[in-house]
Amino acid sequence: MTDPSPTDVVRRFCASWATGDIDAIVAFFTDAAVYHNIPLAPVVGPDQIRATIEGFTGGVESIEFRLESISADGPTVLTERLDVFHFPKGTVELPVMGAFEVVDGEIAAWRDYFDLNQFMSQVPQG
Amino acid sequence: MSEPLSDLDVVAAIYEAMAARDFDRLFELLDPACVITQDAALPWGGRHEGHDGFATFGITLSTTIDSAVTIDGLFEADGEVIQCGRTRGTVQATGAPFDIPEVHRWTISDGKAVRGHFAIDTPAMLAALTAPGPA
Repeated sequence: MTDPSPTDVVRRFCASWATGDIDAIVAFFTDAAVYHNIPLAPVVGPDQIRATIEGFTGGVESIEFRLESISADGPTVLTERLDVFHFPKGTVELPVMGAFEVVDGEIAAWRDYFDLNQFMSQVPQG
Repeated sequence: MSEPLSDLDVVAAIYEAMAARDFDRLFELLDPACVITQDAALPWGGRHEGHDGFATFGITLSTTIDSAVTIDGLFEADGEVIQCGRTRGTVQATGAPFDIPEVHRWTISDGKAVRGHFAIDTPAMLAALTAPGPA
């Protein structure tokens, strides 16, 4: 049986966010995976990746990764997304460009690029 | 050419930028090697280094609580700038309200913050984070 293509892995990863199952999300990564949410500090490994995700999802009811476009060059997959964070008091819609490196069906590196002020200005307040 | 900001002015400007959630301005006021610390028992606590560390701190804080700081006192002591006041707001997930005393201690060097330690009433905040929201 062959591994799924890098594009398929990333499509499934993006879809997994809507489940809210952090175990399932973290299971996509290799043990030495690097997650760099570019305005933030980079983290390495599933435990730190989980902690980072839990850090920005604690007040969120649900998250959707809306995939606008996706392309691959070998193991590297590039995505253009609209990440939607549903809070009880409002919604954040964040345009994101993301790069993934997929090795043997797992994500070894994930780099997201977004505008920090664009995110922060939409987080519900008041 | 404008006068350099005093240490008190730097810290006051930091609170203005935090209230506006203006990270571009914050990064002008924070040294690239700035270290921010807070009780690690809090979801946004721990040690945060550099601008990317401060961004992690800010995002974790803001997505967990909707808060605003009211400054009761801002003064220099022992070569540092002390801010004392209250943080008021609600928990993002539940809407549970909080109104908690806080003290922030800043070290300023050459017009930029190089160190900040944020102390709040941790048990009160943890209680708010686990409290049910308003009916």
